[in-house]
Amino acid sequence: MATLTVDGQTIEAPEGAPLVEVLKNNGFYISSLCYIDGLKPYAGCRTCLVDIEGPPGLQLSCTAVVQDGMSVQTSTEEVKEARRAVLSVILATHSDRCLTCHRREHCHPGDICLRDDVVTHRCLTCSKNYRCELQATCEMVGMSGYEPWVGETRSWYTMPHPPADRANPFMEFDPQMCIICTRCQRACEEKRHTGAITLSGKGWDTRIAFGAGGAIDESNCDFSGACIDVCPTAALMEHPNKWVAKPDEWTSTTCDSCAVGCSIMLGSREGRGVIVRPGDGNAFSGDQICVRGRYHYDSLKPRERLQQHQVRRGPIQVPATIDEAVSQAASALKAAAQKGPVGVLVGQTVTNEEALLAKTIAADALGTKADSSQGPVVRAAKEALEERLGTWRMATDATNIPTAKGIVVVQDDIEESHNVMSVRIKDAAVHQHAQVIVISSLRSELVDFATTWIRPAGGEEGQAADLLARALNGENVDDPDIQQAVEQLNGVTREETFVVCAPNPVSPRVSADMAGGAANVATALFGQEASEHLIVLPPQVNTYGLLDAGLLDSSTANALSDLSGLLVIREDPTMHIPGAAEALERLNALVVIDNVLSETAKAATVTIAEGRAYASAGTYTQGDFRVQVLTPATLPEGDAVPLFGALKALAGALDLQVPDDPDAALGVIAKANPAYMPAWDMLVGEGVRLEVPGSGTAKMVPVSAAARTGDGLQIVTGRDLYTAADAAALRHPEAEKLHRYDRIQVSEEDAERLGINDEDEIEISDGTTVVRAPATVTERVKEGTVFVSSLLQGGIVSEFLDADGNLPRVRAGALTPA
Amino acid sequence: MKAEPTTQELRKLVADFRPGRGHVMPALHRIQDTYGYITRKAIEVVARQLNTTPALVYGTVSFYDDFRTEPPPETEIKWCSGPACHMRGGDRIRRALEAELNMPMGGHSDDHRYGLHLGQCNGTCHEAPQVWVNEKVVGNLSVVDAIHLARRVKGSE
Ligand code: SF4
Ligand code: SF4
Ligand code: SF4
Ligand code: FES
Ligand code: FES
Repeated sequence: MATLTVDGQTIEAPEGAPLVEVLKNNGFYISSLCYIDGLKPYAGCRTCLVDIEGPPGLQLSCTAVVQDGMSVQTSTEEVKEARRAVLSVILATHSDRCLTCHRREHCHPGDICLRDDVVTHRCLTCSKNYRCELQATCEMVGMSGYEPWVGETRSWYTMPHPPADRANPFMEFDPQMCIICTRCQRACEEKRHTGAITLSGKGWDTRIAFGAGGAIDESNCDFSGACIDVCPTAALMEHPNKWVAKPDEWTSTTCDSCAVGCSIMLGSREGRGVIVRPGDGNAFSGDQICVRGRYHYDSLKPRERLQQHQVRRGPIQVPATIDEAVSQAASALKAAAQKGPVGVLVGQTVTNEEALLAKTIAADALGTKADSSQGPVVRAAKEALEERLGTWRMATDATNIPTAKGIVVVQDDIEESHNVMSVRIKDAAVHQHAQVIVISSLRSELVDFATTWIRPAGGEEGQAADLLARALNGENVDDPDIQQAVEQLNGVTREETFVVCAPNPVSPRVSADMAGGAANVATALFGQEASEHLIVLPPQVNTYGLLDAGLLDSSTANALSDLSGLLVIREDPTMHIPGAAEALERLNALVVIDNVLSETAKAATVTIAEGRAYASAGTYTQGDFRVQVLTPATLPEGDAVPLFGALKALAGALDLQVPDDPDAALGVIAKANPAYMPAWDMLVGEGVRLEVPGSGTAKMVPVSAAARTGDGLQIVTGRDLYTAADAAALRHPEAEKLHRYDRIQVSEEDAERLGINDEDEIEISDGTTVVRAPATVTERVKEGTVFVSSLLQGGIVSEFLDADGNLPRVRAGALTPA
Repeated sequence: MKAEPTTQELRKLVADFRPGRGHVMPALHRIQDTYGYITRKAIEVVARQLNTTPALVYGTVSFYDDFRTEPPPETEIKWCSGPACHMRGGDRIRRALEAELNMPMGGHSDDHRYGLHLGQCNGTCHEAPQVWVNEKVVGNLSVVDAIHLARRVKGSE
């Protein structure tokens, strides 16, 4: 620790720390329009000037570092004047009338400008007004009335400005607001490793540009919005909330869209989500989230969600009060139980506490075990792990990934399925020059960071991993990529090497093979310590919480078609179980608790409307056994109630005793499973990793050859980055707003052979199931395969699953225009 | 004007360039020499070939005035920005051309029939001040010459 004096005050800070950060964290105001905390200084804006005793002149506090005994002045007249001078130069490329106007405080929206400024040139009409860093900086630096150029024409007002890019559903770029601080470019490059932004041109004509110079959505931008978070002006803003995001409350909660479990800050207005920013206190996600975390609060409009409880009267469903709905649900389920078995299916975005209630209802009132529609695929991976490592709970702490020296990734496309994990793997590739071995048939963006890309046939990632494991064990494997991977992995220390696997979310067979192959690689690399170096990311945010709660454990004894009644909690079996729609028709009772009118809800006897996960209090158990808190950030729509409340009411109607609130439920969970004790004491946002002991055992079990059925192109699938699961349950045409994945992806080679062009309406068929969608011809897909997103047309790809959990080969062809 | 190159053609054209060896400029030059300009697709192909991002390649393309991202006009006047031309009144030639063609440096007519671009000195300074019309030197220009040249190119004379 070094001691330094700032404006006469003594403070302590680590020697060598960036001065600007130390000053800000100690409450000194420093304008710093180009600095991004934690990144290398750019030193472009020169607004961070301070006076450091010793060297002549003023210094930039972003390039200066803390030294013991240093003395800093941050607000002498000289410093202030210098900052005003540099700021006035920056303002020459910005609409600056309001920023320097001495009457600013008196102005309110709708007032007439006394200086007669054009309305569009004023902060008062800017979408960033009152939350603008440039504006705040001008305020703090005292630009009011500072107009040395009076009488001259300010160049910004005479410049032609390129048009704003409003072509995509997520992000707007308005170049006329840009002050070329380059923060967005550096955030995209250094925080995301995407590099979608560049400075184009030179000199006075320098501008921010995306990709190859076209619209944002034509570039490789993945809409994480890391650039928006750092932009000090209105140049880069979210599209959906550009003008409306004035939240009256910010709540720290957890993203519900994948098992990475990033922390988010959800801003709400009158109980409705209006904006999301990355949260804090999350050791893994840090200040990053992905497009799902940032925008899926808005995946459906409020009126598109269920607002009323409904009970069936003959062919129609009529609105009901919660009491009516719950008591009818209870009696319908009890009556159904008289006639045969009743099942319970739980979606994997329900919290641990809600799962406890679901489990209690299933066991104590309905005499069954709660499962999930994705149960088979989850169990397949779980059993593959248990067979080899004696456990499905991996002891690996994911926060090791960014500093790893070697990483093997067994994936469909982790960039898309678990985005921020991909960012952290790229951290290791860029900063540690880690050896990154990617095993995937899809060309994911992570491939650009791989030292070796092993590209097996589609759906055979598990087999390829198994081959790598055998090669690591010294077997002679005649494959140059695998040999290269072995060499690279043998060049780095085992301690700093990890295996990351995201098993397929649709095909149980592929899922088991991937988890099994990854476990074999871990065993070959780490022996008995395999479970301490392997991370297996499940298909959804709380899959592991449900497994820990003992849900999903054994398959519901009966197939859907043998059931008499079914209780479905925030999920839609028609998206995951082949033939589910017909089976539902035959049930005596179908009770659905959900926030969207899914295909299943449409067939329900009783529907209880709930708020989505963002209305819940509770906890999630993430892919690396970190428990994250959910704090209610939005209110359920209309009559809907938070899911815990709905389940509690139903339990009451079934004469069950259940914990009163989520906190009490967590207490019950923690008493039954002491690993959850620390979670019970946890503070919001912070998250806590559960104690998972290493298994201490590992054996390699070969992954058998992939079973192939049918002929034509092998179907491969996976979770795509953009589709919103709840909107997909509604079969909403805008479930994927970019319209990249509501298509069937075909390889360039097959497209040429089959005469398929981009945008052609095509059909794939295995003789029974037929799917039609426009084609996208892309190098992402390997020859001989077609990619269908797991959420395309409400998960239609699962209709192709056979009894062994395999996906078939299909015939593909363009439909001749009518 | 040549048809837009296909991805396959572009990939073949730059197949021998390798990442990490300063091949961005040579690859871009080869594409421009072959097709006359650099399409967005071409930027993406070069980025993939050199294992970098389209944004980085585009940054390069946009930095150098030599590279163009639109098809060249049928008739292109390149104005020399070199020192000798400058000394002998090249700036006045430039102003005359810009005014008569009604376009800034780097512009072209809406129908792509003619355009005006910045050129680099090619060593034929004895004919300064000069322009190149489709790479042919037209030198020893006076302002009047330049105006006539512009009118001829426009087809109004
Ligand atoms: S970006 Fe900020 S400074 Fe610029 S007009 Fe908008 S509110 Fe004012
Ligand atoms: S868009 Fe925003 S972050 Fe990017 S350079 Fe412009 S002002 Fe800075
Ligand atoms: S990576 Fe996963 S948890 Fe994080 S924001 Fe994206 S979907 Fe949400
Ligand atoms: S923050 Fe120091 S120069 Fe911009
Ligand atoms: S100062 Fe005007 S062109 Fe350089």
